[in-house]
Amino acid sequence: MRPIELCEVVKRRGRGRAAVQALRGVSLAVAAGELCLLEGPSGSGKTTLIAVAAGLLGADAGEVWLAGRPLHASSPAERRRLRRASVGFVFQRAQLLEQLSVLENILVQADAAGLSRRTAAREAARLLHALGLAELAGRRPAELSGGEEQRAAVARALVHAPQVVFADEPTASLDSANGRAVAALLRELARERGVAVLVATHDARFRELASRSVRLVDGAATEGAR
Amino acid sequence: MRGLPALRATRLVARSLGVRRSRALLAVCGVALSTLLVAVQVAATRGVTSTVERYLGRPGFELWVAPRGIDNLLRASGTIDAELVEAVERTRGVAGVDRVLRQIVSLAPVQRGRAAQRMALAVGYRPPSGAAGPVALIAGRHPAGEGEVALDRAAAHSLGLRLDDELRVNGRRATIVGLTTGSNLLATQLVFFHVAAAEQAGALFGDTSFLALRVAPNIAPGALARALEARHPELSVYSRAEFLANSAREVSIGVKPLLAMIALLGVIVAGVLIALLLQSTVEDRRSELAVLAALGVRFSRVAAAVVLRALRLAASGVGLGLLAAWALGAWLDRYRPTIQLAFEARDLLLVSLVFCAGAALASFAPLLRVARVDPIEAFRS
Repeated sequence: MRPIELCEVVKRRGRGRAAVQALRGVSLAVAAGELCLLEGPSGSGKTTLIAVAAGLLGADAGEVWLAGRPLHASSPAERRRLRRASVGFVFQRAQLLEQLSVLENILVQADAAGLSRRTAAREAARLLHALGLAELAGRRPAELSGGEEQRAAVARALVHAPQVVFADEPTASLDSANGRAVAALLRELARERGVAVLVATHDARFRELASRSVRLVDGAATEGAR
Repeated sequence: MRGLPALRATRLVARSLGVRRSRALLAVCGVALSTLLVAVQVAATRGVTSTVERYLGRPGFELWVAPRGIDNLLRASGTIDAELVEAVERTRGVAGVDRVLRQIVSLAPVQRGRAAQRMALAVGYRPPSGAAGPVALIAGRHPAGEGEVALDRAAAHSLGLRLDDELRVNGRRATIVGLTTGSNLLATQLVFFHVAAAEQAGALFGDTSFLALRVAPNIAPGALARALEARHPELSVYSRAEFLANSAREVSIGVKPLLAMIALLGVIVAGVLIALLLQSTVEDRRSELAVLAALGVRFSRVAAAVVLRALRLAASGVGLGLLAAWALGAWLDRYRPTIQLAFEARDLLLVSLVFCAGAALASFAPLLRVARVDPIEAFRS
């Protein structure tokens, strides 16, 4: 079983007359070590798909498997537990907690995943060093460049060694050099750590690096593997 | 052990939900003012009751005898006639009797007359160690005869009088030969006379108001009290503890409900201030809360962080308020001794706990809001 598997997933958002079908029978699978792109125009359902695949939203129909567990048959509490242990997120604007240092941001995720103090400190230090952020561990996000912030967000997403990383427009707010670096970083971690990475993006630079690409239009996957 | 130490992790989350300093300062000042209000009221009540406890709780006299139906020193009427006094003195088991005379009198400086007049509770006692005498003299000596009084220092301050000054007591001239402490009951103060001199000035006091009894070593005070009441139905007899409790009740019974209500309002105001601050913080920090939820940080951790933040605000406000109350107490003691504040550790602890409990309760509404934050918001830039 692949770390991410969606089968005929349907999701409606909103209520009453404002309700829309955000996902229309989407099927998708991402293997370990694979970087899969999720492309499509704004409003096509990319973020909803990530939210459903990560267990942040429940599917109205279809099956969702995450790290080998059936989210569609799990309680909200079970979904939260699975998310803590198996999922890392990289958001569009890094979304680091601005009152905390880089290291503390990483420790928040480590604590959520239940890592011991010693393991959390060791993993955080290793990642900060690997991502060239060791010197910046004590700095607050406001003191970092956009690229450094996003690398710190990647470190946060990886500290608990997740099986799956979801990235939502991770390069949208970066200049081209930093954008390329972050894209390469995600590719590298997928390959080296055997992590399934699903990236929702408009960034064409990812196409060269991705194993596969899925295109969403109006909630339907219109393009398959490349 | 799984996870970081709980307190460290909670503090991390609490810091990530940082409060704007200006708002926090306003909330802390509001809590401090509420604390000051409550602490001063508690200390004022404690000041009066502890004065009564020190005054009537001194050892030496095991029983107090009063006219039938009178159970305290402060609100009393009626007297015990001389024959009854003698009968009590002759009773087996009574080792000694001190007569106490009690009357409400007017005090006025000789120079200013009625314009500056105030009422006080006059007590005739047997100096220097008779029952109901002053707890402590801070200046001068005990009254020795007619025309001499020992006056509470707060009463002297409010009348603009000093040691050796003259004043009028119910229109009669007297000299202040002593200044006392532990004799300020907030609503009134005590002025002390020599019991024999007060008797001579019959118009001032009249007959004996109370008797304080020493009980012979081999006699049970309770049994003696019952025997006295059985033999003299016109008298009521109390143990020292009962008489003290009744007197303490009388000084505070009228004001306690009002003080309790104002104290409750103070706690509510502090709670509302904290709730408003937390609510605005939760609204400001929705994005951070959504990120925390998306990362899988437990709600209990976030809730603990919000409550911790509330407690820190409350603790800062309470600390500041108690400090201000202490400073106010010191200032009053020096410049306005009629208002006597007594700070006791148990009261301060209780006030702190009540405010902290109020703060914890105040977190409830903001926590409901936290619970409704959608982690999907973390994806919206």
